[in-house]
Amino acid sequence: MIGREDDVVIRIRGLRRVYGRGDAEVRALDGVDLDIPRGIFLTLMGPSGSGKSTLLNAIGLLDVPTAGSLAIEGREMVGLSRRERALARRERLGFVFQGFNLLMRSTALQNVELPLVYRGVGRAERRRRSLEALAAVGLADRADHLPNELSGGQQQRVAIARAIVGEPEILLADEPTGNLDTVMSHEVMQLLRRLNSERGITVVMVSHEPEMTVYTDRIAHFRDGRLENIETVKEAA
Amino acid sequence: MNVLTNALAIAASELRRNLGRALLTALGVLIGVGAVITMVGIGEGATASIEEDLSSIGRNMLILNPGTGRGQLRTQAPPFDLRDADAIAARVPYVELTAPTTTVPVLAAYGGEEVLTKVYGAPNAWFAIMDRDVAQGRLPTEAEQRSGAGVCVIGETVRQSLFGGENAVGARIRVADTSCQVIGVIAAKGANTMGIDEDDVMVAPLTTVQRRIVGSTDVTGIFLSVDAPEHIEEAKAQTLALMRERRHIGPRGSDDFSITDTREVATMVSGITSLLTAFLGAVAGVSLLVGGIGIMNIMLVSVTERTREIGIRMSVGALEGDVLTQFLVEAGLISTLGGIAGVATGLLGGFVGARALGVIFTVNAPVTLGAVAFSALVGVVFGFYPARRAAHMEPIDALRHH
Ligand SMILES: Nc1ncnc2c1ncn2[C@@H]1O[C@H](COP(=O)(O)OP(=O)(O)OP(=O)(O)O)[C@@H](O)[C@H]1O
Ligand SMILES: [Mg+2]
Repeated sequence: MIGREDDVVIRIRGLRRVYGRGDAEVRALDGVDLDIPRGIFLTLMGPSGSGKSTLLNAIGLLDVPTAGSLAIEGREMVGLSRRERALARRERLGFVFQGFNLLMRSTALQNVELPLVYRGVGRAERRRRSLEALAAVGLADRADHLPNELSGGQQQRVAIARAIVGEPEILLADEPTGNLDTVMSHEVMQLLRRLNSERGITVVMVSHEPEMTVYTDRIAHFRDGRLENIETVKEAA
Repeated sequence: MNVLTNALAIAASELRRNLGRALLTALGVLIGVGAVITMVGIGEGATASIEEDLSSIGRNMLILNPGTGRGQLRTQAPPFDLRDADAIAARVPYVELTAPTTTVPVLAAYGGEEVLTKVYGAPNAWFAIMDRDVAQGRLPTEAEQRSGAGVCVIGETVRQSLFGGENAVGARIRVADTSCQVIGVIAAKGANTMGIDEDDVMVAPLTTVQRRIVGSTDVTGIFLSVDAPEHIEEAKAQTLALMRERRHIGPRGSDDFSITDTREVATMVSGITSLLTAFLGAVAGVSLLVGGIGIMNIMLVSVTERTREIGIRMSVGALEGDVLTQFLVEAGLISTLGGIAGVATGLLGGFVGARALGVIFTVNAPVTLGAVAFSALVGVVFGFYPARRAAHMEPIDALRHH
C-alpha cells in the first residue's frame, strides 16, 4: 500500500550526523532531505558506510543528529531532551534489529511483553496483547520458549511481535534478514509486508539484498551520507 | 508500581543467576550488620548485668585502705586503727555505718577437708553495709564481738568445700592456728562483675581476728555506708580530708591511703564494655563501608556486562527512571540479603559470646530491623552511581556494545 504523498509521517530536512573531529571527521549523514509518506514500506539501500543505519537510528530517536531537522507527525525531534525522546520513542516507534536483540534469559512471551511493562500495562492485559502479537507472527505455540530454543527466523518474528505489540505507527528495521537464510528471510519479509498493508504501519527498512526489496514500495539509494535517488518498486508482492 | 515489581522480579532472577557473586558482594554488609547485632545484644546484656550487680551492692559504699595503687604496685603505708573509724563516724555527717575490718588469707580445715580462703574480722555493721545476711544460723552477738569469741560465719563456697552436704552450723573448724565455731552461713551471692566469688569468704568478730590470727590491733580496711547516692562525693571528700589530717599529711603531701567508691568499679567495667562497643561499632562501620564499595564495584561490573540489555530495554520503551530503578532495586536487594544474613550471624555470635562472657543476651527488635533497613540503604546509596551510569547511556551506544 502506498500512502498519500501529502500525508507525511516523517519529514527530514538537511539532516547531518558527523562523527569525530578534524582529520578524523566522518560525515555519516551529509545533508539528507526525505519525506516518508504514511503507510509506505521504504527500503534504504546503499554501499556499506553510506549512512543507512545512522539515518535509521536518527529516525528511531536512538541517536542525536548533529544538525538539520527531523519531524515525526509534524513534531520536531531534534533538540528534544533525553526523556522527551524516550517518551516519543515509546509511543510511536518499534524496532527490529539484524541481531534480533532479544533478552536471552526471558521467554518469547516475556520479551514481547517488555514494551507493555514499561508502558505500565497491567499483567492480564499485557499477557493477552502479547499472545495476540505472537499469534500475528505465527508463534502462539512458542510463547514459553527461550530465544535459544527458537530458529533464527522464529527469533526475528518474536522481535517483530515485540516491535508491534505497542501498536507503533512506525516500524524501523535494520537489516532484519541479514542473519537469516533465504527461506527464513522471505518469511520475515512477508510478515513485515503483511503488517504494513493490514495495519497501515509505516515501515522503514535497511537492506543489502535486492531480492527483498520486492516486498517494499520504494527504495531510497544512499551514497556517502547523501540520498541519491528514490526508486519505485515495480512489481509489489 | 508495575515497573517496581518488574524491577524486583528482574533483580531476583539476576541474583539467582549470580548467587555466589551476590553473596560475596554482600559479605561486607553481613559482617557489618552481624557486628552491630552482636555488639548491641552483648552490650545490653552486660549493662543489665552490671546494673544488677550495682543494685545488689545495695548500699552507697566507700572502702578505705592504707596505701595507694593497685596490685603489685600498691605502696606500703601504716594501717588504720579503731579510732580512725570512730572519728569518721563522728565527724563525717552523711556516713551512716562504719565497719573497721582486718582481712587475712587463711587455711580453714574441717575433718579431712582444707580450703584456702580469706577471713574478715569485722563488726556486724559490715553485713549491713555489704547488704549481706546469714541464710542459716546467726551473726555474732554484742558480747561475742566485745570478748573476741571463737565464732565465725562462713560463705557458701567455704561451707561447700568443708562440709559438702553436712550441716555446718555448730561445727568447730580450724582457722589458721586457732579454731572457731561456725554459727552461721552467709546467703550466697555468686561472682561479682569482676568475676570474684563473693561467697569464698569467712567473717569473725574483729577482735577475734586481731587477737587470735593477726596478733595486732591494726585495721586494714574501713567500710562506710553513705545515706544517699548524691552524698557520696561529699562524704568521700570529707573522709579524705579527715584522714589526711589524722595521718598528718601536709597540704603538699600525697595520700598514703585510698578511698574506693564501688561505683568506680562499675564505671570501670562499663568503660570496658563501651570500649568493646566502640570497637565493634568501628568494625561495623568499616565493614558497611567496604560492603558498600563492594556493591558499587559489582554493580558497575553488572552494568557493563548488561549494557546491551540496557540498550534493548531503552529501545522498547524503558525511561531513564526505569533503568535507574532496576539497578537500585538490585543493589538494595543484594545488601538487604547481606543484612538479613548478618542478623542471623549476629544473633548467633551474640548468643555464643554472651554465654562465654556470662551475661544475658538480649535481642533488640528495633535495632535488628533498623540494621536490615540500614543495609538496604547502603545498597541503594552505593548502587546509585552504577545505576545512574546505566540510566544515562545513549540507547544507540548501549545497543552497539558487545
Ligand atoms: N559511533 C561511530 N563513531 C564513528 N563513526 C561512526 C560511528 N557510527 C558510524 N560511523 C561511521 O559513519 C559512517 C556511516 O555508518 P553507518 O553505520 O550508518 O553505515 P551503513 O550504511 O549502515 O553501513 P553498513 O551497510 O555497513 O551497515 C561510516 O563511515 C561509519 O564508519
Ligand atoms: Mg548499517
